[in-house]
Amino acid sequence: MQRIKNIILILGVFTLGSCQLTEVDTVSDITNEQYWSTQGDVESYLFGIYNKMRNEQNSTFRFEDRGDSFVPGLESGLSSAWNQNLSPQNAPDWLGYYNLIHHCNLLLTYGAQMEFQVEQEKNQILAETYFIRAFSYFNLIRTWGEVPIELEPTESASEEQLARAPKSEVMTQILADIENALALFPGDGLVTKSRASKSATYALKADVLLWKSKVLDGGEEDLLAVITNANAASEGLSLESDFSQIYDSENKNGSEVIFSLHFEVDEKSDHYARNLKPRDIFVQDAVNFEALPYARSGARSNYMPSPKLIAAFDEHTTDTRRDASIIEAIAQDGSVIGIFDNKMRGTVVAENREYDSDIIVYRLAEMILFKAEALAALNRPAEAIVELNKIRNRAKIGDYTGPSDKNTVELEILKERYREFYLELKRWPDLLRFHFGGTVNVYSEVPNLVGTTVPLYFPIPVVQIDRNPNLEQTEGYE
Amino acid sequence: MKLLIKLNQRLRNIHLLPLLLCTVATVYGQNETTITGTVYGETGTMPLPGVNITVEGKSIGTSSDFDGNYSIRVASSDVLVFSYIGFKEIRKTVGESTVIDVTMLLDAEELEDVVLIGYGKQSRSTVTSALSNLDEVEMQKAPGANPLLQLQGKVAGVSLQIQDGQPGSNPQIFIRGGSSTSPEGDTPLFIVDGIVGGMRNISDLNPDDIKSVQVLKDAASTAIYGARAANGIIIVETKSGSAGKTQVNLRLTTGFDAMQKKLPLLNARDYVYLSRKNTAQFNTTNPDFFLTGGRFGMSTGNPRDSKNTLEFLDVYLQDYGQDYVADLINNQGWETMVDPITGKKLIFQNNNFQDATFQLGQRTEIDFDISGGGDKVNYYFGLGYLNQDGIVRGTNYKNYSLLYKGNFKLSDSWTLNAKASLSIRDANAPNNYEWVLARSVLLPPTYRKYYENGLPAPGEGISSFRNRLHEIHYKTKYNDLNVYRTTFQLGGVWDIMPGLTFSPSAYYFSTEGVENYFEAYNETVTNRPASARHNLDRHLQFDGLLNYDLSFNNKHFFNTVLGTSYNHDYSYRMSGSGREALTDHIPTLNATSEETQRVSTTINYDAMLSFFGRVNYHYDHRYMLSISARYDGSSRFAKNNKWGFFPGVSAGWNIHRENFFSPLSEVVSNLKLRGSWGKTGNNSLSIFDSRGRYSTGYMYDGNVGILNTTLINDDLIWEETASFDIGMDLGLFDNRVNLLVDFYNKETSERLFDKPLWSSTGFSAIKSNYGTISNKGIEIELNATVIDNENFSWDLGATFAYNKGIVEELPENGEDKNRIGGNFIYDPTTGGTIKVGGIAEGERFGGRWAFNYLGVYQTDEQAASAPNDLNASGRTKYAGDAIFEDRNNDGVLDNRDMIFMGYIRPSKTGGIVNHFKYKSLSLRIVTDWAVGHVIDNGFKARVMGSARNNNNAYKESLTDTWQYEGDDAIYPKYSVQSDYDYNFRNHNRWDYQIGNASGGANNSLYYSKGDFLAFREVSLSYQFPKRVMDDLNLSGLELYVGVYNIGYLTRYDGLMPELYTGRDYGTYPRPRQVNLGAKVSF
Repeated sequence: MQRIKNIILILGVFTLGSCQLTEVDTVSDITNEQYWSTQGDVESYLFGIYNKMRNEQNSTFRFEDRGDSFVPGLESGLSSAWNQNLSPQNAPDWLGYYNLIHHCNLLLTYGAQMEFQVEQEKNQILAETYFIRAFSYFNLIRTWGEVPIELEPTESASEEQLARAPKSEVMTQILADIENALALFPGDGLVTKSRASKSATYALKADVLLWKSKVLDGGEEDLLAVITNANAASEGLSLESDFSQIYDSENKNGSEVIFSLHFEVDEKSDHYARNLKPRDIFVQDAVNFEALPYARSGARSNYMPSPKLIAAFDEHTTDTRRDASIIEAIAQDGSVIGIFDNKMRGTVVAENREYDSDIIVYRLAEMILFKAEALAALNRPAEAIVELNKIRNRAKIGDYTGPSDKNTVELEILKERYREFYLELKRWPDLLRFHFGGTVNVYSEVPNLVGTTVPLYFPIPVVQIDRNPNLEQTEGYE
Repeated sequence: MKLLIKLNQRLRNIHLLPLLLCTVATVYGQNETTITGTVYGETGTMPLPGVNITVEGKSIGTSSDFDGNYSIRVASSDVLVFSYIGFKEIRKTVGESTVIDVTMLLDAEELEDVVLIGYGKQSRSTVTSALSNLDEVEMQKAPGANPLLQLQGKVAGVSLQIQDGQPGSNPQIFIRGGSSTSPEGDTPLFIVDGIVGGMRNISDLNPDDIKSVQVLKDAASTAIYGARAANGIIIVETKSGSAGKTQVNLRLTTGFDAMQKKLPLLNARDYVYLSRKNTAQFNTTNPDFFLTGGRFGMSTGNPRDSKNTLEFLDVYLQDYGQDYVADLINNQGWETMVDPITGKKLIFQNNNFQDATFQLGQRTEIDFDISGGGDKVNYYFGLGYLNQDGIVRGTNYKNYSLLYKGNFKLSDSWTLNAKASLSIRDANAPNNYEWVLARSVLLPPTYRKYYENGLPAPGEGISSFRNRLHEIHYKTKYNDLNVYRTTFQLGGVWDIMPGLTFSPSAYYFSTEGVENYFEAYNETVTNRPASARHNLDRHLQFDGLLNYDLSFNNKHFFNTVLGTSYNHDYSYRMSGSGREALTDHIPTLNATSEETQRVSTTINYDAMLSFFGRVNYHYDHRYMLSISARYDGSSRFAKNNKWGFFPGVSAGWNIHRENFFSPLSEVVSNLKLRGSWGKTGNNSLSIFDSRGRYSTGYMYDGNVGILNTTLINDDLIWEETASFDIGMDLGLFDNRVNLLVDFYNKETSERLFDKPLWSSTGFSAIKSNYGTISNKGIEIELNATVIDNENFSWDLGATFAYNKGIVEELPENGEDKNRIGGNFIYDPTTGGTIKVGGIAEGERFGGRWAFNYLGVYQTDEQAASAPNDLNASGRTKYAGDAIFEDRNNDGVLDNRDMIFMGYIRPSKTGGIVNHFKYKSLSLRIVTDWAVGHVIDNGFKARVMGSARNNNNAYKESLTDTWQYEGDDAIYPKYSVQSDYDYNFRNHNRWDYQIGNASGGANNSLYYSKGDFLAFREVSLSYQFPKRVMDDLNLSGLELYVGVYNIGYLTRYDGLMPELYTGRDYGTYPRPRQVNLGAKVSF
């Protein structure tokens, strides 16, 4: 009997002491209740956000494919955006942007409550986060138009199912974040050009206001503000004298760059520019094989620069941007095997080429052309031409000599942007701005849009409406 | 505590009861004497309580008490009958004696009928739950690495899905349809010699060491394991020694593995003809890109000793001379033919990349064991060695195993048992199954296998997939992957008093993986990448078990188990990588360039604490009742939701033991009805699902970035599976025919599932408890001795299982049937659309829909009237393109035009085992089958659609693809321009969320039924007769030969129909295996 009592005692002790036994440590990852306790948590989180932002930006899908810069490459593999056959069935998901926004919301909620030894360091981080959130919503509004405005982090399954907010509200939100960022940046806010700064925020604001004035019926006031913001963003910068220097791997974050997303192969692979590059075997019999930015693996010629783009370059035989932007593979008999991107050539490492160009978000040339665009829209073409010529002269094509009426100058600015920013994720929003601004008809500019009525904003996936019945499909689809 | 003491007092009181009853029973009788005595167990020292003592021909009796003592009043002419389950009956004539002590001997035959149940054993005859077992006979001659494969077709209700033919790889296994809609989550719980859940699989266990495999299927039997038991349990017991003469066994097996079937690929001549002719015929935009420049397999422009061999003969003659060309043709297997386009002569080498990828695998297995023991000690010692090649070149599996088990009798009341095992696995699997199995084999046959210097050529020349010979030479051969598994167990059994034992056990189980990878410098990969991994998983388990056996009046039998278990798991991962070493001589990381080196480690813990108990009761082997309960606490849930309660109850009735049944007993020797209900749980979630997760690994500009990657859900609770089972055991003609029938209904509620979220939350899903699914089914196992003569016998075993899985309940979401996922299709009955697919209430899951292929457009005019094909992205259709049915006639081909193809998992499975014996010769024929599933042959669709512009084609492409107007072809035109990338979309189509999201064709042309009958085994063994053995001084010698996975009877045209994922993207098929072996016993 005593023995039984002993056993029961042992079992009893085991039982009573057991509650602790079901608790374990989490070592290599952090749980919600542990995070947001030190300054380092906030700093690391910001880098995480940049990592995510780079992922989102590393694609031609939203801002190039629907434009007129690409034709099918050697291997084909064309996106639904390029084909202009977007439908609710194959619609792109905005999950990536909202994931980025969730991270911003989380940092803005919890990071703001943290104590920092130096208050300015916290403000710097918050300002950068406001910039990224504004930038994300700006990408959303340019892609889908009306979008839900999520300003709180997602912390449970029972979040409110938000409807798509009118464009004007989204625009107001973007501008509010920009103002928050500008107010919080200490000094010029420049830590490195690979992170957002006050200059980058001015650049974004100029971009946003141009969109507002041309696409969302903003006023003259906005256009004037574009000029002041573009000027503010330009401070301390100078144009590269040689256009090919801008994307040279040896000259990352050069004198012209305002803000770029850092790219290096060990951190991030599959640069979007690889989709316009040849695999070695496709061009192995080219006479200029060695000059081509081929790679053994990691390259795929899904697209080629379009004849329309090449024609724009070829308008001026002296244009230095042509060879710095595109390259042809020439066969023995002089015929062209294929045409490839030559702007983002990457770096040769261990006998293979890695595409590692930074994704430049804003650079000085764009500020100059923003000004030109705003001035032209304000019907001040003469001043616009002055700005335009700065870009033309750097490209060695001389001053603009054509007609100086508003519309022609605006057309010329659009074309200049075409040549200057090819593959820099600007073309589709450019076409939309000048379309809504009345300069061109995008349905005749883009070959795949000719004769169609595909809406200019993107659809959302049907399944998203299933999951959140408060969402409505983008106008014009179904 | 108090409750336990009370319970214990109760039990103490109960044991007085039989004594009282005994007294009553002995009151009457004449000329009688009182006989007393003690009954002992087999050892002769341990008293055996609860032994039935009856008097032959009279209705009096008693049973032994706790100390084995009994007393009974009988006449001197009476015969006493001592009986006890599992022991041989003993008869003693009373005569003059007044004290009769007996020692009961174990009955070997009865013992075989003892089955493993959770935390104990039970006589099969009183088991009330649904379980099946497989004994060592099935394991002994298993051809190769994974013992699990031996379950196929032999246990009703267990379905194995073979993922690949890599030796040692694990099949996906579900018991009774699993409990979720995702098969990965349906793995049953493995219990190997008491270690619960530490092993996710048993692939490295030496089949020769296995004594039995038990499958617990219903919740009444699994509830004692509570958590994690929802998907059923597989209990594996390894061999132990037993008292007696030392036994030595040596088994040698050798054999080979080969492909069952080859892909019907074209030779170089036909490939060149077809691909060049069709390029000229169908590619009118840039044919030269495909035909010249050495870019593709069908391109000319390949100089001497380059990767590709195709060139115009005159170029070769001019550039390299007559002698060189003559040597190629006469000695190197080169051929010439007329180019269908230019009419000029072509020269090329014919290479078979299927042969370069697959091989005939060799296998050697040696098993050695010694067992024996005496009164105090018994032991089993097993050594095993297996070396098996895969049928894919460069793959193999080596395993060294060691098992030691011992039992020590320390004193009358203490026994100690110890186990130690070690296994070392050294295996090399394909680095990437898709590249090796779906791409390397398809290299155009015009590519070189070897350069002129004898070194392997890469094929197309990219690093991802290539000539398998090249990959092995520069990469695979450097792989060094070892896994060390060690188990230690120390347990004791304390016989506290008769019938009451306490067994504490401690277990240590660890799996350590050390992996090194390196790729030498070669033309496709120039930076010598190296990587290494070190993984350590450690499972600690402490069990305490109180077992109490009680019986009285020879009628009431109790077995009570009370226990606790603590499980603690630790996992450690270290990985490192680097590149740009300057030499091929050092394949480890120390030679790589420092700035490229990266290293990472992670640590994770998991813990579970459990309390459980069970009472088994039967009355006179007639009425059985079992009640069990378990209370589990898991570290994976949030504080308030850690604990789950899992009860189980079952009852049974042995009808054949009733008196009224005796007229029938000539025919029906055994009839048992069983019923059970129980609840089990599932905690298949990560600790971070309930606490939220912030992960590192988001570097930016050299800085460490952290992000919130898992959404917190601290409301998560245990997933519960309640199952209900009714069964019958039927034995006919003295159990020559045995039938087990079970009906079950399993309902899983509060499913732990990734609940989809709408995207603006920033997350696509959150782990949640939601929905209910059910699995209903029938299982039948039949075993019969059809013929049983002195010299010849035929045993037949057959299994059948039918399972139907249905979604019962989903959270309210405003959709019809609360459907989640899916899409709209045309409904011909209403003319409108209905939503199908995904998961929905009342529907079976795993349905697949596809575009309905109707044939080929014969003319461009006909094609011009084709509906707008969204898949084709506005591309104009021409003659030779596929006609897909526009079911709703809206002029657009989209999801609304898709039709139902079938379900991805079979609904009925079964197997038949035939065992013939003639004298010492024995023959086994095993078949198994599955019906009710469909397979989308995406692999074939990609081949027929030339998915890479540069792959070999099937023979059918030559004969059965569309060529000219009026050609009544089976397939659309064959073009080397990728059907997929160039938007032809005649073969591969979008899935629209109701087809196969990846790897399938979503085209009815490539769908077929997966129903199959597999000829699994034909084997023959010969046991040398005893007199020969005596001459040789051996105790046994057996020779055997067998063929396994012989082939299939199926309509499916891929390599293997055992695919339950809906699509075939190119599999590593199960090899056909031949086994030759000998077993010697001393």
